[in-house]
Amino acid sequence: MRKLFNPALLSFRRTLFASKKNRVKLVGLFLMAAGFFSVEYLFIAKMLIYFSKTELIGYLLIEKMLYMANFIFFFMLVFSNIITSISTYYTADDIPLLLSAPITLEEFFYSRFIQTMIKSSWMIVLFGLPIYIAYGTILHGGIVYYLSMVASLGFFVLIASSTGIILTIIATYILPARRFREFMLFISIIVFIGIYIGFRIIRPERFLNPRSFENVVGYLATLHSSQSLLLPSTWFSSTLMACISHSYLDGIHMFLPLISTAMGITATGVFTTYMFYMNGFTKAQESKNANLGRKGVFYKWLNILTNRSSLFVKAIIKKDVLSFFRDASQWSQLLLLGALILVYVYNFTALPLKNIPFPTIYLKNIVAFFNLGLAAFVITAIATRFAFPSVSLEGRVLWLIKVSPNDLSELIRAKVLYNLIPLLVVASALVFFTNHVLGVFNFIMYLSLITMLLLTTAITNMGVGFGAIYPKYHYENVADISMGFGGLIFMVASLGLTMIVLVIEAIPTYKLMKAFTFSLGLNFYDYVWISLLYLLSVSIISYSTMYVKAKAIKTIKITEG
Amino acid sequence: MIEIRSLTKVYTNLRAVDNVNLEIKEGELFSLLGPNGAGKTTLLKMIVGLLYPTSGDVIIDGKSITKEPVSSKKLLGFIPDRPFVYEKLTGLEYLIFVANMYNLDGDNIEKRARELLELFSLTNFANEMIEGYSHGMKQRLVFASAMIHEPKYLIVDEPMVGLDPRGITLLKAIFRSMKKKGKTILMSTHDLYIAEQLSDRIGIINEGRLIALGTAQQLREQAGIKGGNLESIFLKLTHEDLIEELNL
Repeated sequence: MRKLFNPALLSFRRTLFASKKNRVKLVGLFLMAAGFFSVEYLFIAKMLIYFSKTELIGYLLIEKMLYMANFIFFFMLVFSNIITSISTYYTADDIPLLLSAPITLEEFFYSRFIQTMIKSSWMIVLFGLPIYIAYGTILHGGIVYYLSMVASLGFFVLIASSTGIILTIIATYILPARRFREFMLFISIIVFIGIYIGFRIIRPERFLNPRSFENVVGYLATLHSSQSLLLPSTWFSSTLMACISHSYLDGIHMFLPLISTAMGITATGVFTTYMFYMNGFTKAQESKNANLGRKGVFYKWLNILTNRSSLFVKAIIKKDVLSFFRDASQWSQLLLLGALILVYVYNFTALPLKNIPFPTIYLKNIVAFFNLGLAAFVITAIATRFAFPSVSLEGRVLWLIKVSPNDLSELIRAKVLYNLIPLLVVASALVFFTNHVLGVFNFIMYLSLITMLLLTTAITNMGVGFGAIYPKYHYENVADISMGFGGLIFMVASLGLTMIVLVIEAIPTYKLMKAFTFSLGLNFYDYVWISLLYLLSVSIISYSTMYVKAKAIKTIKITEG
Repeated sequence: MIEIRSLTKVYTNLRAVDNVNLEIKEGELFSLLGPNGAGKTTLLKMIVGLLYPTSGDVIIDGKSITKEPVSSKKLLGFIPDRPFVYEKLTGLEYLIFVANMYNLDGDNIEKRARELLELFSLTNFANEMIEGYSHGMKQRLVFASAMIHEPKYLIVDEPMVGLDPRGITLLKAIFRSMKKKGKTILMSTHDLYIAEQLSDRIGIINEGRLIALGTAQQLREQAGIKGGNLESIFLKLTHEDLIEELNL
């Protein structure tokens, strides 16, 4: 059995330690992870300290937060495992080799299971650990808490992974041929409904606004309301909370279903593999006709949209759009994007701004300005998923682009254009909608829209550029492309740029806003330095865009096609 | 004419191509032979601009591939040894895409694409996604795509790999027909029989260096072999002691 893991382990080790460059990357990656870990830990710790000082409801809020976090983590883990298991169980290059080897289906299941679990869970676990550690340190969990945290987190992840894999195996068996697209749609709708219902059940906005409850008793009753005892996230959260309050017997009560379900569902995974896998795998080998044909309306629209571009740019965009909608592993990521926007907008409408006892118009405009940072974060997250992998998606066909008589800057232009249009639509919609909800000054609305337009253009260019500088032409799953050192560097660079631009723009914006709110006059010199600061932010955006683009072209040129 | 001038490619621990000088004349079919890892693919990749040379240059009709890549690449068609293509496009879409890469568009291109699909027996699969094609079908599609812009020079890396006997016969006929039309073909191959059958001249490359050059007859003379076939010349020039070493 161990032999089945060796190729993955060896190639992982070789990739990490093969060259000095890779070792530097590893250190960089570690430092970044440590930085992220620390910031998240400090944020959660501060929040826990604040809540723990709040009488009566503090502890309940702390408990509720953990339930909510784990509930979301559970769905994210299941969805992530579904996406990963499609490639690890069905489309990976080494599947035929493994299936032709003298191993049992059980061994096959476990070898793929561990790979799937690690690939799809490490990031979510990394994101969750600072939360759990903060709970332990701030609420004085003690050694038993940490031990139970490690054990129950392991079983929690195991349940989510098994659930995702089992769903994939069954759905691939039920749905005919290579219908991953329909399959993904089916699963995604289920996950979406799950998240939506979950959010509606929890209604997190209520806890921020106790006044919306009829009385204190009602508010407390809601906070006290128990979670569904059928959910692994409830068992996990309850185990942790029981250990924090040193009620170890309660902890064991919640830990037992976690461990027994984990064991049971893993066994079910083996059973499902024996029952359905081979049939599903055979069906998955059948070919399929192409949808979105060249004569259709869709293709005509593409022609109109790309009408003013060069033939090369047009061809790349058309090819990318067709490939995107024909490849479930690509378009299914749109659903993650949809979930991100949904949560963002939902949280915004739930902001308790109406109940604030001081001049709201001033505050609302400040919130609107800093909301640009959040919107840029959302755009960065989307660009990491879509713009960053776009050059790598050329994959092993990069040779064709490189032998064709075209300037490589045209390739970058095509990739930027292809990503920029949808990103601009999302970015402007986000900013417009949130500013509209806030009811900001027209001046703030225009400034936000222009800044967002420039930032989105820069983020898209940087996404494509960094993707070309740190490419992954040989990938199994599209989602893997951005999950590495390059993806992280891009996110840091993009957020860094956003921060710099917002800090520079904050000074003149504050000055202008004050002048608007209190009808103060501005003199000539005020206008000069205000313009200069806006100009500086535009220059920084332009320079960073051009720098990354030039470096990207240079990297593609020397890449062996 | 393709002029290869002192072309060298050095990787960290390997001199893959070592100071190769070669001229390939217009209308010529030139075969490049050599054992595995001799540097054939690296040399071809530098000729088509896929790889930057460490030193030296490739001049295509007076244009340098490193200094004027766009104008020189217009004259070339390249067929790599492995047929990596966009799996989510159909065969017809792929050919039109490649035509667009060469700034060709319009109804004529679709007509030409269909003709090429017919020529390579792919008409029945024209509207099927390439991911369902077999290796040989993909190889034929890549051939069709390299011919869509009617290049003056066709550079082919291992053309016969993955093709069935029918495909090989077709390819030989296409090469002969292209030669008649005055096109130039440069191919690397392990198939010594085909190289001998089709080539005007043959170059043998070993350890990155061009060690022999000429017609089959001239190579025989260089190897000091009378009346032997290309296989014996090849072995003589590249692995002189192989047979003795193997004690066969």
